[in-house]
Amino acid sequence: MNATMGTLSDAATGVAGRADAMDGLRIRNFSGTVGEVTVANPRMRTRGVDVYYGDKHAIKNVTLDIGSNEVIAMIGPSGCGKSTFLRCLNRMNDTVEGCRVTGHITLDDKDVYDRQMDPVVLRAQVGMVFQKPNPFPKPIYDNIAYGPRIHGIAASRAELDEIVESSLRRAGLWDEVKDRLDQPGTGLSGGQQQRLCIARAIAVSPEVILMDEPCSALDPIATAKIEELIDELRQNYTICIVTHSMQQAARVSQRTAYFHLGDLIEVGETTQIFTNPRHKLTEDYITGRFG
Amino acid sequence: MNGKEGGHIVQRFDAQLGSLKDLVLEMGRLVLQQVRDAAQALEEGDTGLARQVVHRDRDINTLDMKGQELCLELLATRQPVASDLRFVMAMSQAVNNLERAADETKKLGYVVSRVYGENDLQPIPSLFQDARHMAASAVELLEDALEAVEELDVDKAVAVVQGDEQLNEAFHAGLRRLATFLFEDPRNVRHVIEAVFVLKALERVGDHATNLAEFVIYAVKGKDVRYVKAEHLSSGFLDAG
Repeated sequence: MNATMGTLSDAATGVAGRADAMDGLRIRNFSGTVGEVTVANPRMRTRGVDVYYGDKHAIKNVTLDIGSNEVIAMIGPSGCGKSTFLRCLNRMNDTVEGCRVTGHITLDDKDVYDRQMDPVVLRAQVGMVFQKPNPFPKPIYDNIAYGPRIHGIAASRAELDEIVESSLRRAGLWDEVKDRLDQPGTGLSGGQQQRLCIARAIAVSPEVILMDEPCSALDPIATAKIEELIDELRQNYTICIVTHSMQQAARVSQRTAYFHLGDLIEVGETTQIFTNPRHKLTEDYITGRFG
Repeated sequence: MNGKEGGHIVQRFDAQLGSLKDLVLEMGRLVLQQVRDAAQALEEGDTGLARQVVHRDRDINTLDMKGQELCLELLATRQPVASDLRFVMAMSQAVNNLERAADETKKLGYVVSRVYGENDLQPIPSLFQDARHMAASAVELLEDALEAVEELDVDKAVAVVQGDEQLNEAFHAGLRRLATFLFEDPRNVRHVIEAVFVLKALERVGDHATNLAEFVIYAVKGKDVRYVKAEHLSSGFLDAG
């Protein structure tokens, strides 16, 4: 693993710029993000996070809370670091050669990058849905049952059946697949496959679901179903979504974060960001003046 | 262009926003002419000019429909956000307010026709002495509001909002004078009612000019100041987060 995290004392020393205290954590310097980076009920907290791919500084000193039961949208032009930031939250960057992560990320006050933290367990707690639906080449049932099985969540076949059904119901897919659970997941339509992947993430009882462009390969009807699902899932989960669709960010999220060249430029209530952004870079990007 | 620096990547979007603004300004110039002509018709008892004012209202209604169609097209095809969204909303409201200001000038035209065109009503021009000053103020406010729209100039817009206070004061002073006139000779009640219509119409033109200015402030600053007292419209207030 190439990812390394600084300690809190590291974070507070040897840094130029304004040192600031936030929620008892010393962050390294003031990042200049416009808007309120903290929330009253954080599920995850990131403090002074930097990400490097070799010499490339991909994420620069990002401090951001992700609130419980909120949908937060990460937007920004290609290469701005939004997906990189998303992948830090469940240590997906661990597997990237040459990637180094510093700063502090917590899930329910537990250090995500602590040596004791098992990334496999973390990724069950912080699930992920990717741009392209990636069901296992297995029956629909097994796609859902796989996670609970390896994490030992179900004690019996009946319990596993229950998890499969409830996960598919929550993902709004049960009625469409209940009579063909033994058929391969790869045989479903694109939108159904994506909802299968969401059901698979739900099956291991995550706290947070990360979505990286979950609708970019889907038609408008399938996209609408996923967006409706995201709204329903918010009752029970925290969702971070990376999207290139500004309209989607505006439709599904309560908060929006705008990234630019690795900096978190602005974060705020989604309505405020899309009606009256405070930073010119945000304004230029969302109005299509960026270029 | 909608007056902001830096155009959109999609230049057609800029062209559409520019067309919308041009339409609002064209409509504004027509309404301004309507106010001037209605005031002149009243001043000179010119029923012919009054009829022209009433007739030309149709041109403004046509622009009203065209403006709303443009706004709808922009919303449907561009899904504007942030300053673009505020601009489109502001221009939609501007079109609406200009159409309503034009309706007020039509009312003035009807008053002139009734007062100066009907044989059974002997005109009393002195009743309209407040109208002359109020019409001049309303024209000035509308001119300034249109300049604020053209340049998206918040300072000018604030000046219009604050200037409307004087027109309102003139309206109330005019009403008091008409009431006194009525007390002195109640037989003139019909004349006084017509004069009240005139003052009210001019006061409403000022209100619509003010609304235009308030939507300029909204478009530029993102602040809804419709229910903020004019004296509170400082730059500090408008720039506060």
